[in-house]
Amino acid sequence: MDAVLRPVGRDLRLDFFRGLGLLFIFIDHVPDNAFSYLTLANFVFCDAAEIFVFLSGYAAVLVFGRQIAAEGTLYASVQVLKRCWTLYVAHIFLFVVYTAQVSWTAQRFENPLFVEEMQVAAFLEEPHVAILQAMLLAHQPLLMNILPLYIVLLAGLAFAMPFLKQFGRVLLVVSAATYLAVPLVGFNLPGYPEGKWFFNPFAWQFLFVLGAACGWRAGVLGKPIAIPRFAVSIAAAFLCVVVPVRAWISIGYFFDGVPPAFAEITYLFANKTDLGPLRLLSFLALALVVVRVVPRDAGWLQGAVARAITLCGQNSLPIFCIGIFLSVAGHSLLIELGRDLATQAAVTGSGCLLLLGMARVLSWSKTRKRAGSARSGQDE
Amino acid sequence: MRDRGYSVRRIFAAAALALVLPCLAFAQTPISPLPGEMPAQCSVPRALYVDDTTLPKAAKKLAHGKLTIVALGSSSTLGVGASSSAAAWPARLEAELRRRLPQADITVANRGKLRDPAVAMVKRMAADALAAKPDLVIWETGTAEAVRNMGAEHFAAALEEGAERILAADAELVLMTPQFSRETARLIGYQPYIEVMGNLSVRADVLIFPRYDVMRHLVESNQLQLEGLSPAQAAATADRVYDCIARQVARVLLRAMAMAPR
Repeated sequence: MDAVLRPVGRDLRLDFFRGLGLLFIFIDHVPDNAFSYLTLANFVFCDAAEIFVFLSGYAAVLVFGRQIAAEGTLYASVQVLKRCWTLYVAHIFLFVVYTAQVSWTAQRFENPLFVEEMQVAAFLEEPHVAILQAMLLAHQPLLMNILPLYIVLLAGLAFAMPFLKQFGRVLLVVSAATYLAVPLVGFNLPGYPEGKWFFNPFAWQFLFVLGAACGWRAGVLGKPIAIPRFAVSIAAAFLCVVVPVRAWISIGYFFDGVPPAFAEITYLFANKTDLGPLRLLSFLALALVVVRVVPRDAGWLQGAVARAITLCGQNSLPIFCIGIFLSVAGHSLLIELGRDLATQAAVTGSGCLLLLGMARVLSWSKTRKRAGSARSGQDE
Repeated sequence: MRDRGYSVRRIFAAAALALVLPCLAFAQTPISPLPGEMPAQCSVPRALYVDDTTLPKAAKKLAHGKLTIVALGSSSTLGVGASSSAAAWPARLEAELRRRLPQADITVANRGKLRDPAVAMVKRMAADALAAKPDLVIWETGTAEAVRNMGAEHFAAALEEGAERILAADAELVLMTPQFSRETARLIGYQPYIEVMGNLSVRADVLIFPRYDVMRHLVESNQLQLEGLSPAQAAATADRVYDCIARQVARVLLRAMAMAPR
């Protein structure tokens, strides 16, 4: 008996797990937050970023791929580019907010003890370069490193649109080859003022393309994806090893309980910038097991909490951007108010509630709009 | 006569023994430090120092009455903002260690360089730090990387190479994390870099001095005010912070040496 993804209507699991990923991204991005120990990153070698990128590829093809059939390739490509533009504007907006924060501090905080630290404002002295670098997506301070990846991936999809139908397999092979070549050749896009992109798009594109391939087959073509039973068993066995080991590394960190050589090796293979193999395998194993354990029509997906999280996933772009703002605001609050567990709980809890509330409002406004206009625009 | 001669020899022998024995004992037992007294507004709970790495080599050298320390670092090691180079933390550390261990010959050389990232420090390490044959290297780093967003993996590689070189030179290693202030913590993503240093300090031969946490504790417990200061107040604060860091480092070093197995 094989587990089967059946393409009927919209798969709520897609939105639920993307919503859950978005909540994890918010929680993980509040530094010094004890609740981040409860998120995925401490139990497997991947984290919410993998969920988000894979499911974004899946969802993007689901929506825009269907438009290929309905409206033609050019129309679909233009829709992807429009979405890209929205993301780009969101990124530039984040840059403006960050710049305001830095210049505000640079003017007010004159403490000679922090001369080196205030070099963080050096980009203000060369605005002609700094603004250009931000527009080129090279300047990625603080949490401004995920949107550039998403933008580049979607832009790539826009140009891959005409080839999806006939050369889907070729694209998948090219994508896998590029991923495998990254550690050998070591290519990445340049950062600013120094360094490289935190999420190497040449590596992370593979996960996006994998998601897109699944979305294309299951969502657009309507063919089930048969998952052999032994694959699920291997994945489950892999997780049975990985979960205790990863939890042990997280806990052992506090009392030097992990052999350093072991920690170094896992660190090497779980490299986040280049999507290390351990991260990719962890995610794939997790995906296989989850697809098997959670059926499409699982009753609990209709529960109140699950539905609220699903709404987050259905409004992923605005929720993602709001989440980044909330992470920055939450960090500031923890810096100002102190970091006792109660404050952490308050910040994390209210942030999650705000995200869930915003998702609800956005969905409500979308259904109102849909009721008003004939054309329905489903979120990718 | 014979008897008397014998007893004279005995007295001499006893006297010689009385002189030599304490010296022998002195050479084998560590010099016990005078109690440390923290100035007001420099109180840090013991719980902040979780790394229980010991410093057996430094303890042995100290037992022989001599300890050579090199402080390798960037602007905050050089002492930017301090009233004089004598107020930078390495000089204050030397003074504090000498005060607490008056019998020992202790030097702390300042090898801080403005805005130096770890890669550059690894390059100048051989000539700048290891040539002095230090027993202990305190490596203050991570700030330039975090400020310029140079990448945590890049930093990890440089840190590991530097650590290998220091340990290969038969010196012991203490890592020091960046400084904390509310204003800078909001703008700079320190966490990945501090995490890299924490990961390295999991090793049994690398001790970490969590300066970021120490300063954060001082700020949060209202012992340290860093914002809205007049230039004169800011200069005085810099001296006070460097002095406090030096005393806390001395405390951590003395404990790590005292705990060392013999």
